[in-house]
This record gives sequence, structure tokens and C-alpha cells, in this order.
Amino acid sequence: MTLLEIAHLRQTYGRGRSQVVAVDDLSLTIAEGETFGLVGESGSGKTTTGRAVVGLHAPVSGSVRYRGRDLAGALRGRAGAAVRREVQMVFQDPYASLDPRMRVRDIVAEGLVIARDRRDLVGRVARTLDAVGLDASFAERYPHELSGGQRQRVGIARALVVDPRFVVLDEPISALDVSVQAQVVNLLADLKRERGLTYLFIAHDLAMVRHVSDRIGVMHRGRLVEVGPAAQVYGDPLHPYTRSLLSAVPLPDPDAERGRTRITYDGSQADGSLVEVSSGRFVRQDRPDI
Amino acid sequence: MTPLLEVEDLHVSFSTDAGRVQAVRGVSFSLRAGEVLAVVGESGSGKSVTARAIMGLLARNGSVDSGAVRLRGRDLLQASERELRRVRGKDVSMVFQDPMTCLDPTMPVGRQVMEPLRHHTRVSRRAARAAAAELLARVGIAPDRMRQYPHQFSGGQRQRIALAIALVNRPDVVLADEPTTALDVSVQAQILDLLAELRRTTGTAMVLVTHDLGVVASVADHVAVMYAGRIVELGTTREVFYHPQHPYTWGLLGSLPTAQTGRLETVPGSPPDLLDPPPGDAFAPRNAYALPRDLEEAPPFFDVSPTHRAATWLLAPGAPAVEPPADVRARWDRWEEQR
Ligand SMILES: Nc1ncnc2c1ncn2[C@@H]1O[C@H](COP(=O)(O)OP(=O)(O)OP(=O)(O)O)[C@@H](O)[C@H]1O
Ligand SMILES: Nc1ncnc2c1ncn2[C@@H]1O[C@H](COP(=O)(O)OP(=O)(O)OP(=O)(O)O)[C@@H](O)[C@H]1O
Ligand SMILES: [Mg+2]
Ligand SMILES: [Mg+2]
Repeated sequence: MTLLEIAHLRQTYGRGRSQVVAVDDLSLTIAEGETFGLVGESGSGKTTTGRAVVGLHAPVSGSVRYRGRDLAGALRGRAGAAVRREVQMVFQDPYASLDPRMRVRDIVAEGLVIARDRRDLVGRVARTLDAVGLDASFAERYPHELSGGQRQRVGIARALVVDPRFVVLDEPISALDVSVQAQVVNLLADLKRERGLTYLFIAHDLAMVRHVSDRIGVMHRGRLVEVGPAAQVYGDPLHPYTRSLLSAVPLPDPDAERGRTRITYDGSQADGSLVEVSSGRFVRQDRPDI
Repeated sequence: MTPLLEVEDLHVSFSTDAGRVQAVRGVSFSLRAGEVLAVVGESGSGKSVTARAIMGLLARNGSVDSGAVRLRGRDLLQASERELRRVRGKDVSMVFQDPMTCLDPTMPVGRQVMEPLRHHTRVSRRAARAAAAELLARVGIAPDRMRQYPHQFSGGQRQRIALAIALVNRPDVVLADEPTTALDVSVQAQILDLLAELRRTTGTAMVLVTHDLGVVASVADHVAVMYAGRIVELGTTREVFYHPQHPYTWGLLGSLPTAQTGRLETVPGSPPDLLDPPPGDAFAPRNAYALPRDLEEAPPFFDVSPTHRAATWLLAPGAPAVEPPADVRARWDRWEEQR
């Protein structure tokens, strides 16, 4: 069943000559229980898309529908509070997104307090922190008393504690060492299996995105250039940008790193549109001369 | 030749409501001109605190309890704040893990890149602007965006602006704390190329804090592995990847996602409470290979080669030989083959 449907989303910042088109004509659907990985160039509009998907920015044009309803309408409607709780976002910049005057336990508890859901509040906060690898002593700390990766995990705990149905994870594990990354990724997988959670997983670590995602979308300059099942996009990348991206993944193997070659891609003039080349597999068809 | 940067037995702690957090517990390393030392390790193990202590930029509740940080033989920990201001951003600069901590939200980014130039050198405004524009272009930020403010940029663009600020004076040492985490791999490669060029042309040395072992493999000369406030293993990049000795390093290398599907390997257990660190090797309680002595007594460094050492009693003379995990055995076999 389709949980989320984005159609022809366009997002801009500023106006006039300094206007930035951050997202341009982006369409995709995410099924309930699915993990959709979004990768692409820095500045290509991933965070902007994520923010639209949780209703933080209204679309300039196009639409975002959640469970078949316009998201903005659903958030305003009678069940708005419930929808707001169902749809969570883990922000890319944990430093800026945690209130410096609040202790970790209050930051994590906030969503439950707002929802007036105080049953076993302390216990739930403690268990969620524990699940992301932070023991009880961290509950009393302030954000500035944490390491980068500890802060990032507070952001994840805050989103998961309210028992969401759909979570946008914007670079959720970028500050974690590989072993703690694995712990968090396993936790996300458990929640998906046990409770049918749906994720939009935005990240630059292509090996991890491949590991967690059912389907993947690749963005470049505000637009999708390729969408398809994870194994196909990685195994047989069709768009030149996807190829160039995969060719640049650094391998954790010093000897292999020495002999590598990277493919470059410019694409500043490319203007094709997505075409379904096989079932569920979309590739942007750009003119071959650009 | 004296090293460019030398850190000796650094201890840093923070006072909190619950007690003192022993964040760095005896870190030593040295760096020569043009060298890249990667620092990897558990989240919370003291990587950022070590870098901040070198810069003299600890949080207010933190203090350096003992140790020395020498830049060309001169101890920065003894320097006055005024002297440090001359060193910072010129001789040594830092790229912070959270770029927003060092970006001024009220100043256009172009000015922020020009600032260190204007502060440390007698360059004209116009020349500073040109240099800033050029550097920003090199990190992939279009110069026509110089008048915009930090909040108008994406996460990775902010990170690149912070990097430009750190590099604009071509410092001798850059302490780069996770400088490419918010970048896609193509832009990351472009940034790593820029750093390599700086290292070739200016002899800039770098301490690169990162958890991306791919980045480590592609740029580092040496690797330090940290756990619970200490370096547990230090060696050349090939030594640490193909001949790792500390069981924490084994766990770290074993957690890399491979083509396998299903659950990822993790290191079981959790890191120690730094309010009251254990007496022995802090990793021992999570370490299936730990000897009884690892739990009781902090292991010293044992030399594996002149460039490689690790702090585990497994390396003590007369210690029982242990068979490492299969993936580590495969690394060792490869190491042997190539000798
Ligand atoms: N508040 C803003 N004002 C102006 N431009 C903005 C603003 N926020 C983002 N942008 C621009 O919109 C584009 C898309 O930004 P976005 O944050 O969505 O990128 P991203 O794909 O998340 O990048 P990254 O991987 O670097 O985080 C970028 O060019 C960015 O500079
Ligand atoms: N201001 C502070 N007050 C109290 N504790 C602190 C403070 N700053 C850091 N710490 C603690 O010191 C330890 C080391 O922190 P540091 O930021 O150096 O970790 P790190 O290795 O950089 O981790 P990460 O990879 O997650 O960024 C952590 O356990 C952290 O909680
Ligand atoms: Mg982003
Ligand atoms: Mg850090």
C-alpha cells in the first residue's frame, strides 16, 4: 500500500535573480514498510525534499500526500496531532536541532509530553536511549556535553521514542563509527520488521544505503536521475551521474585505493525526463551530446 | 628532525553534574610536515576533544589536566591566549565536526572566508576577496553565493565553507574533524584532492578525524585507533588495515558493511563509563580475546614494528597465541603474502 506520494514537487528559496530552485519536478512513491534510500550530490535537494515530506515546508508547487490525503491538510485537520506524531524527521545537523538548554532526557521525552502520553515516560526514554547505545548517565547531560555521534543518536532517539510510522532520516549515521552505525542500522531494521516502519533514508554512505534500502533514488541538481530497486541501481547503474557516483566510493582497502579511477560527470545542461526503462526502473533520458 | 606537531600524554576531563568525565586519558602522537594521520575510533572516544585541546578551544567545563602539545617544539598549552590567537587559523587551524559551531550566522560566508586572511596577513580587501572566491570555487561553492548567509546553504555546502575558512591561510597543520561527512563521494573526492594538493605544495600536515575507513584508506599515511580516551593502536595505514593487533581494531574492521544482506556485525556491549573508567584495557569487558590481565592492568604499548604499536597484553612476551576472527586472519594472510 502506498504510504507517501510526492508528485511534481518543486521547492525554491529566495526570489528574483538570486532564486535557487532546490527541487524540481520530483515525483516518487513510498510503500508502507519500505525503505527508500535517497542519495546524490551535496546541495541537490535531499534535505529540502525531506522537509517537504514531513510538512515542514509547504510545496511551492506539486503535492505531498500521506495515506492518500494531502499532507498539509492532514496536519491541520482533526487528527493533525496524531499525524504529526506518526511522521518524524531526524535532522542532518544534530547540533542545530537540539535545544542547548534542555537535558537529553527532556529532549527525548518532549514528543511524548506534547502528545500527553506520559505512561512509563522515564522508562521509555531510558530504553530508547539504551537502544541507540547511550546509557542512563547521558540522560542528565546537555547537548554541548556530548560528542558529535552521541548528539546524533539523541536526535534518533527523539524521533523513535514516539513510536512513529514513517521516519525521514537525513544523514542519521554520518557521525558514527562503523560499529555504532551497524548497531543503529540493525535497530532500524528491527523496528521495520516488528512494527512495519517506513523510512526515507538520506545518506552519502552508499554502502550503507544499499544495505538498508529496498529502492533507491539518485538526485542531481534538484532532480531525480535514476530510481529503482537497490540491487539494480548499484549492480547496473544506467545514468552517467549514478555511474560517476559509484566510481568515486572510496574502498576501505588501501591497496585497492591506489589503482582506482573515477568517472566525472557535469550534467549542468542536462534536461531530460525520467523514463521507465524496465518495471520499476526509471532513468532520466538526457540528450547524449550533453 | 623534530616533528611538526607533537602531542604527549594528553589528559583532558570535563566537570558535569554527575562528576568528572575522563574524556582523554593519555594520548600521544606526532606528525611531520606533509603527513596525514587519520584518527578513527568509537563514538565518544575523545577524538574531537583531543583536536580541540590542541587548539586550546575546550568547552568551558573542560580542562587539560596534564600533557604537552608542541608545535615546532613550542608548547601551546603554556602559551598565552594572545599568542594562541596568532597561531590559530594561521599555523594550525581546525575544521569542526559541526560546521555551524564555527560559522557566524550573521555574516555572509564570503566575508567569513576572507576574515582569517585579513586578520593574519596584510592583504588588501580586494585580494582577500579574490582569494576567498577562488578557494570557494575550489570547494564547489559558486562565488556568486558569497553574499549569502550560512543558513542558506545545504549541510555539505556549510561543511565546505568551514573547510575553506580553515585552509585560506595555508596552515602548517589542519585538524580536520569529520570534514567530509556531509559530502557525496564525488565532491568528497574533489575535496580530498584539494587537501592532497595543499599537502604537496605547502607541506600542510593533517590530523584527519573520520569514521569513514574508505577515506582513511585513500588518504592517510598513519592511523590511530582510539577507544575510551586512549589510542589503542597506531601504525601505518597498511599495517592497521592488513595487520591489526588490538581486538577493538578487529571489531571495527569487522563491522564494515559487506555485500552480505541481513544483520550487520557489531561490537557487542557498550563503552565504559568515563566518569569512572575501568583500571585495565577499557575494551576488555567487551573483548572475547581479553586476557585476565587486560581487565586489571592498563596495557602499555607493545611494538609490532618500528612504525606500529598496540596496547593489549596479547602482545606481551609469553602471552598465549590467539587465533583472531576469520576476517582478520584473511587480512594477516594478505599481509604475510605481500612481505
Ligand atoms: N534557506 C535557504 N536559502 C537559500 N538557499 C537554500 C536554503 N536552503 C537550501 N538552499 C539551497 O538549496 C539547494 C538544496 O539544498 P538541500 O539542503 O536540500 O541540499 P542537500 O541535497 O540536502 O545537500 P547536502 O547533501 O549538502 O546536505 C542548495 O543549493 C542549497 O544551497
Ligand atoms: N563539554 C563536555 N562536557 C562533558 N563531557 C563531554 C564534553 N565534551 C565531550 N564530552 C565527553 O567526552 C567524550 C569524548 O568526546 P569527543 O567529542 O572527543 O568524542 P569523539 O571521539 O569525537 O566522538 P564522535 O565520533 O561521536 O564525535 C565523550 O564521551 C563525551 O560525552
Ligand atoms: Mg542535506
Ligand atoms: Mg567527534
